[in-house]
Order: sequence, then structure tokens, then C-alpha cells
Amino acid sequence: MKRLITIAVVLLLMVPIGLRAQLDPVSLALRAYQAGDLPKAQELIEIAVDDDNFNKITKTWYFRGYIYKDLYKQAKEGQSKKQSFEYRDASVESFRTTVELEPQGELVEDCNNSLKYLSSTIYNDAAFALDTNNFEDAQRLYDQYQDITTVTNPEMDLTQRTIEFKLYKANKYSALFDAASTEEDKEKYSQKVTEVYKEVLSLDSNNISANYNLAIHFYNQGVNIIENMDYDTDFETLFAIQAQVMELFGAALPYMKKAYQLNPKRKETLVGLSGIYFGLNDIEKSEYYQEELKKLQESEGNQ
Amino acid sequence: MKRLLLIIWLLFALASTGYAQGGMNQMNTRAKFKSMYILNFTKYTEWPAAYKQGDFIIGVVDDDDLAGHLETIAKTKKVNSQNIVVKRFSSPSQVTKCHLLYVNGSAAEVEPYVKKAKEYNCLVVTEGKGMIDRLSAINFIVVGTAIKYEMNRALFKEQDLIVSNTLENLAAKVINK
Repeated sequence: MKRLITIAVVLLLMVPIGLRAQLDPVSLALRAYQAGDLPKAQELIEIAVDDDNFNKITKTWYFRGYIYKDLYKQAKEGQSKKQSFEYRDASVESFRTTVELEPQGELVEDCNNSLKYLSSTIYNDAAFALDTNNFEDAQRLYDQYQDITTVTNPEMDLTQRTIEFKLYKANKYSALFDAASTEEDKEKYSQKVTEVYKEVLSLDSNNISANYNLAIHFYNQGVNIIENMDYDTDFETLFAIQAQVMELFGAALPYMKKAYQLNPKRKETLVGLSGIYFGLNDIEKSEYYQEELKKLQESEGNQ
Repeated sequence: MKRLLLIIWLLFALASTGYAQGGMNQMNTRAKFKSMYILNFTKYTEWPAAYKQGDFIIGVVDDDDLAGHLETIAKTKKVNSQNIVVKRFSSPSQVTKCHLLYVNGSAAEVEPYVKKAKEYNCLVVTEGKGMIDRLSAINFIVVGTAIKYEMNRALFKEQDLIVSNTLENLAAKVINK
């Protein structure tokens, strides 16, 4: 706040005397802001951005950024989330416009700091949205976070963070898949789980969690089908279902093998490979991985 | 709120470094398929008249998962109008009158059970190489990755069991010796 006031005073002195004499909307907005009257400041700064005499001036957008940033802070404590998001979006837009208007200007560093703060709140909101299964909002917010970070920190490699986001998203879809009570929902969430893990693997084919979890997802789908089969199923249907299940176990295998290749000492992967091979009726290989697991457990016991 | 965000961050970290998704669904997938096959075998086989009364007895040797599934079947299903009873055996001497006996193992392990079962009009079902030639009327095999079965028509006849064409037609292999 102190920094803003210092900058504001300097900027105010830079405003043409003619404009200042008329008490332009930007100056009035700043006064209202300094007086803590945010609604008034908002009203005045909106007049300024609609006026061609002011909307090409950096400080108009810069002040607007601060006004909306404070409106956002105020709103997120009390009013609706939607309202606070709108204020934050306006603040982000304003700081970005400030930088675009004067990419080498003295306000860039301050704008970037504000943008970094705002993007961190956006990332947290993306995580929160995901945690509450609000997938569309989560993705939109994450995209926004990514977009801002690309500007404020162009050196930063966001791949790992994107992977973390997607893995968490896949986990949430997976929980919904497990809890789904209708075939339609099962199918919908199953597709989502597969889609998101595959997105992770397209970013990093060596991601052990994505490989393992995708294998488990395919395998568990097969097991669910078996579990839900009526014992009194006729031969024809039994053959068809068996083929469908084998297809799912077969789909699981390459991902579990990859997870094993990436970390052969992981017990879960050995259990997974043994289970998948057992499901595929390859008892010899299933027993081989069981034996590997036993050896691993024994070696751990000896340590 | 800070605490909540910390939890969310931890969940993110868990998802990225560990195996965060729910675990592997533990189930003996083969046992259920085999139990369903066995129920179907009973539908397409006819036992002598004396065996069409009382309980329909299925014996299972040393396979708790399969026996468990068959016991579940027994709670709600019948073979014709006969109640299903599942008996678990762990030695040949325990084998009593059965309509169907499932036994899995090497030929040497299976043979004593088969010998005992042959005292009755029993449909012997096995799983293993070489069983179909002389020991069992039906033997589970793996074709590709799927469980299928092969059958020996002569051994059905030897036990006075009548097998339907459907069972023969759906078998992966049928021998008659």
C-alpha cells in the first residue's frame, strides 16, 4: 500500500496539469481509493477506462489493478466467490495491460509482483475447485494461472506443476468412478480417468504414478465387471464378457510393465503385475512376480 | 483456510510422487469364471435317475476361492430342482458321493481323487495338462488369455453321464477315447 501511494504521487505529478486541473477520473479514483472508498474508486476508474483520453495511459490501468485487487481481497472474505473472481480477473487484466502499454516501464516489476500474488491465489482456487470436483472451474483457473505465470516468470517450466494438477484431477475422477452407481456415470468417469492419465503420459511418459494408476484403473474395471456378473450367465455371454475383461487386463499390462521398469523395487507394482498376469491366465508369470515380491520383502526384512 | 490449502497441496504432492489412487481390487478373477463354467456344465449334463433326487453335490478339492463362489451360487440357484451343496475336500479319503468333483493339480495328485470319484456317477472337472486324455471328462484350459474347456466324451459315457451337444459344440477341444 505505501509503495502504491508513493508511486501514485509520482504518477500524479506526471499527469498533464490541464487534466489534473479538471480533477480527472483517475485522480479522483485514486483519492477515493486512498480514502478507502473502494466502490467509488471502482466507479471512477471505470469512467476512466471508458474514456479515450485516459485508457491509453499506463497509470489508469495500474490504479485499476490495485483497486480491483483490493476489491478482490475484500470480496473473497465475504461476498460470493463469483464476485471475487470477477474482481480478480479485472485486476489481472489491468496489471497486464499496464505492462503491455509500457513493457520497459518502471511499473513492470510492481505489476509482476501483484500478478504473482494473484496467480498464486488462482492456483489455490484451482486446487480447491478440484478438491470439490468442480472440474470446469478448476481447469479454467489452472489455465489462467499458467497464462499469467508464462508472463511473470517466462523461465519457469510449468510441466511438473501441470502434471501434479492433472494427477490430482485423475485421482478425483477415479474416486467418482469408484463411487458411481450407474453404468452411465461409470463409463463417463472411466473415460475421464483414462483421458487425464494419458495427458500426463503425453507430458512425461516416465511418470510412474500415471503409468501405475492407469494400469490399476484398467485392471479394476475388469475386476468390477467380473464381480458384477450374474453367476447364472449363459455360455455365450460368459465368453463375450471374458473377452471384454481380457481386453481390459491386456490394456493394463503395458502401463504396469512400464511402472515396473521405472522402479522394479516397488512392491505395489509387483503385486500389480502378478495380479494382471493372473487375470490374463498366465499363471507362470503371475507366480514369477509373486516370487520377486517375496524376495523383495525378505531382503527388506534382512536390512 | 490456510490449513485447507496445505492439505490440498499435500494431496497434490501425494498424487505426483506416490501411488495416490485407490489400490488394486483384490479378487481371484479365475475362480468366479470357473464357478460360472461349472454351473453351466451342470445344465448341459444329465445324471442317472438315482442322482436326480436329493441334493446336488459339488465337491471341491483344495480351492477355497472356487468353493466360496460355488457356495454363493448354492444360496440362490438349483440344478433342475435339486438344492446345491458344496463339499470341500483336502484328501482323497474324504471324497464321498458327488455329482461333480473339481480337482486341480498334477496328474499324480489328481489321480487318487479321480479313482475315488469313479465309485460314483461323478463328473470330474480338472485343470491341467494331459488330464483330458484319461482322468477327467472336462478339463479347463487357457486359449489365448481366456479360460475355455476341453472334454472327453468317452469319460462322460464311462460314468453314465449324458452330455448335450451344446456343451460339445462350445468346447475348445473334444476327444472320444
